[in-house]
Amino acid sequence: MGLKGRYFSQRDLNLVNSLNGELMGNIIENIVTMFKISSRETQLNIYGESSAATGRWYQPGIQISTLVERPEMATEYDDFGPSRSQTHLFKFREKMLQQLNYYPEIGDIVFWNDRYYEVDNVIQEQLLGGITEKNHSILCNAHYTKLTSLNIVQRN
Amino acid sequence: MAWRGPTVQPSINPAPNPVQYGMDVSGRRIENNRAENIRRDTDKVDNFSVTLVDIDTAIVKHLDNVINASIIAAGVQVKVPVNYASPERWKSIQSDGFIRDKNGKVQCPAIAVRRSTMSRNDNLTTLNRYLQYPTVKHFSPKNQYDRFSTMNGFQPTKEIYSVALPDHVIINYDIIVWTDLVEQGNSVIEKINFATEDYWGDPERFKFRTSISDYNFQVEINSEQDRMVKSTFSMMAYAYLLPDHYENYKSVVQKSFTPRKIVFSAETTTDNLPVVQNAKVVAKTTELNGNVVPVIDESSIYKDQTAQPNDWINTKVLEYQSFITTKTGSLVTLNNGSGSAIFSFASTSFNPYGSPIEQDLRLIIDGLVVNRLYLTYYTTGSSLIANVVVTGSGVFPTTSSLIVGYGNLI
Repeated sequence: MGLKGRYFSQRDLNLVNSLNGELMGNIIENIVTMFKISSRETQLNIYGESSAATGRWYQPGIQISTLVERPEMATEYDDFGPSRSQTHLFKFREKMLQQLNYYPEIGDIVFWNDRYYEVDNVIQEQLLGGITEKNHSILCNAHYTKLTSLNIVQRN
Repeated sequence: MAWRGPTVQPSINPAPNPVQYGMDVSGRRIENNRAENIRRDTDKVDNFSVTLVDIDTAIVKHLDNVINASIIAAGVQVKVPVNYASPERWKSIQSDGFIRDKNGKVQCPAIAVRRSTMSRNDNLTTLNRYLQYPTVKHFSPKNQYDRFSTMNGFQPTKEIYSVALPDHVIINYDIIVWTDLVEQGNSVIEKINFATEDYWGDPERFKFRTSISDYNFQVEINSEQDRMVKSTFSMMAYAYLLPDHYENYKSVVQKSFTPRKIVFSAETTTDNLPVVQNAKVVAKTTELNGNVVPVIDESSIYKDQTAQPNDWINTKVLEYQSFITTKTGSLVTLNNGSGSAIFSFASTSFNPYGSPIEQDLRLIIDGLVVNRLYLTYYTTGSSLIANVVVTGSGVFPTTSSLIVGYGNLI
């Protein structure tokens, strides 16, 4: 049984996905590494935080091609002196995420441009022809996060 | 990776080192008293602490497991989940799925707990953190190969575990109850209110007295948002805090042993004394109040050109040392009801010679020196009677205790 709707038939969707997959994977080639927290290994304390004794545990990172909207880095001054902050928008093809069996969620970590970003919001609203079964992309708003909260990079 | 400047060391910009090392890896010399180096990994007494996590856990778990509030929603009983406020993002979405729908919107009902303020409890102040509460374990493995019936002058050693006294604090918690309907919020607040003015916590762990003074109720209807019934209140928990270590290294539970045998000797040290050459102590005796007592010729102590012949302090120190003796006493009465004990030293009284400062008795019970605040003594006839207020003194006299008096006795 095919997808409903007069426009964006299955052949159209295959064409769009094929073109965009080639464009993102072979031409633009912006590759990010996504880390999802392993909630089985990560122990929690009473405050809803990962336990300080174990830290966070992640599942192995997955490399995914993406389009990145990247505002400039901002510098904020407070009692500790200057600090940097930045937000990014990472755009993924839903078809590719389905093939990788990976669904991004709030709290996942994105590694790109030698920085780590924590996902704040997941948007899944690019409905082709307004049909809910024909969503094309998944967007992730993320912010530049501290190394100290990650437990990904070994402390020197 | 983007260019980060010249890569030749040391110009490279390294990642920050978030690890701060403690003093133990620094070059500073740490004073070490070997008498305090008592092995703790083989005994069964754990170190003890009461932390903020323990108190928060007691409050949240009591709300969740003991009060166990529930509401009726469309005829179905629904448990109200309890969470500490503002958890980590990933935990909210990936672990607390049961209070959200599949798209992540929070559902009602829910209770959030947040610790807001903490203050000292002035009604229960500890004098200082050096006060300790000793508990005595009368059996020690150190005694298992000794036959004390054939050993003269030895007492079985006892293990003492001294626990520092905690700081009493009042901790305020802000608690928010979200429900869809006022009727649902009422049932939750009624259960919580009935449970207050009582001790909250795990019976196997810690329990703390709680109190709630007032409740606030709000019904919010904002445009483009759901109607929300919110009940908030502030709860006080009368708690106490005891860190597991303090002053860099001291354990809260400190282990020590009572001495097996007490040997007294008197030593004095003085600073800035002149070099004594050809010093000669001339022992004399004199009769004072019917007693023959030795007297030190003050002018004969320092016989060199720099000595101060009228150095009262040094003279008195030597004079006092010449009269120091120890006497073994016995327990006369032990009144557990009033917590007092009376000891008698037969044929003993204070040496009548000297000023009142020398009429000072130090009482040692099983190796523990009795604090002067708990000790009174007087002479009657030819006996010296010592009265000890046992409660709070930190000593535990029994009929087999070794009682030693130390002072200017004859």
